[in-house]
Amino acid sequence: MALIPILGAIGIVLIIIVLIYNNLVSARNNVESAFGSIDAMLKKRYDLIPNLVETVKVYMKHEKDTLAQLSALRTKATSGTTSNDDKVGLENQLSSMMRSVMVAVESYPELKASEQFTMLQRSWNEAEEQISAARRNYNSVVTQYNNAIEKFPSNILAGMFNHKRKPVFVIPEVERQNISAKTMFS
Amino acid sequence: MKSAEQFQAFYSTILAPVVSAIEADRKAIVKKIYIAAMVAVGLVILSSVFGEVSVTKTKDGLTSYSGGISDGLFYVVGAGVLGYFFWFRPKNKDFKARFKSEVIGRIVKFTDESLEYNPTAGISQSEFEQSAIFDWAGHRYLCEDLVSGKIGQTAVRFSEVHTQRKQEMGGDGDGNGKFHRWVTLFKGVIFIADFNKHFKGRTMVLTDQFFQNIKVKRDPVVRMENADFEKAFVVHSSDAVEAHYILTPSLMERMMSLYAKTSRVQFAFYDSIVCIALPIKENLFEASVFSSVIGETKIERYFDQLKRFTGIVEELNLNTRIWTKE
Repeated sequence: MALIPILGAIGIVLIIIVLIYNNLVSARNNVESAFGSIDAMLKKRYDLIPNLVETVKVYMKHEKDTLAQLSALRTKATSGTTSNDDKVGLENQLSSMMRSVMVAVESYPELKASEQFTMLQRSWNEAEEQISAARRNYNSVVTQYNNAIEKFPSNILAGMFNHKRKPVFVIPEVERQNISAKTMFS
Repeated sequence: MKSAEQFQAFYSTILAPVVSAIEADRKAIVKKIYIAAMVAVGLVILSSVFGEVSVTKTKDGLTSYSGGISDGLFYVVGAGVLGYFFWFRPKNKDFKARFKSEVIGRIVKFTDESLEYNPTAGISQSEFEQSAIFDWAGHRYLCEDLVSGKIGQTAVRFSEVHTQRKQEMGGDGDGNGKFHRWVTLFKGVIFIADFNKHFKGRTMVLTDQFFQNIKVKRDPVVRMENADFEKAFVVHSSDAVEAHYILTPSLMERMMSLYAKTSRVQFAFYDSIVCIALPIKENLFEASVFSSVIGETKIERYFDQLKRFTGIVEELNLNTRIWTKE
């Protein structure tokens, strides 16, 4: 008769272990899914570049070099041969280059007035904001995963099943700045 | 946004004569009530002094009086009740309706030319249910004071909404209760506006105190970075990345400032629009026949009531249209 409570206790412990294990697996899968979302948003932005370069090239004769560089960067980024570290560097280069193009547009009133360009600019803003959203989501999900790994009692299982702490995505300072309509449309 | 000075100018040039005319009518009504009251009192006194009182002794040796003051009171009360239902109530209703259409209507137009005011219309029950902020529109759905139009580039619609459920009292629990009373589920303003970004799914931002969350099946919870925001709200969304896309750090701060002014405010983002539920105790845009309607400060209070909602567009920065939605 003494066996029943002991079996019961073991049963409860087993159930708890299963719950914790499953929770860790979900958390890790969420992280991978969130990382995938970032890539998807990045791709959307890359896809905008050829169209943008073509539209802008006609007007911005002086900026030929910058535009050529932009196209080259894009080709490199989508080639699939870059390492993750290189990717981050590429990303930053692309963003800053794009920003200088947008600033240069200020000197070309016909371009600013062009509906096609305005639409592209809006799409670009949207793509940037979606990338930022994907990154913020990734950070939130990673933090939850890291918490699960480090907190008791799941940290016991975490070590057993090879769950390791993941790095949080550092969002470049410029992206953190709120896009102000004044700078984009003045 | 119209300033206080602009309102003062508007009041003195356009509103003042309208308000004066309404005030004159109001005074006439009050005067009549006063006279009726005096006559009633007079009749009661007269009947008690001059009325014939007949005293009868019943079998049990009790005395009963009839006539005199009791007759007077009876007729006066009867006349009062009739007068209330057939004269005062319609007059009062007309007065309130006139005030709304002539004064509030003009204030709405003054706030923004494109805005329309309909005192008897409101956010429909189906719109209310579509927002999914509340799981039920109640046994009784009342709405009034609809304001609709465009503020800048943002289309808006808002009205007062009052939902109630019937509560049986003194019954056997099978609906055979003798009495029932009405319990308020939601009373306040439902505000619907066009959001400045395109999005596909549904994101709900609800206050933690909202216990209905437990009963209704909602999308998974999404955690946001803003600590104060997380303390105040719970975010449910069909797509976590989209939730972050809609709820930028800037928008979250703006939502917190709305929350500071109206606690228990709820937000729903769906179909590229935002629906906001603001619980408010007072009844908006109401005038009483028993208090004067004249006075710039008094009337400006109605303007302030209106601004509280039309100002939401600017507070949430909805007119910033730098993404693909125009």
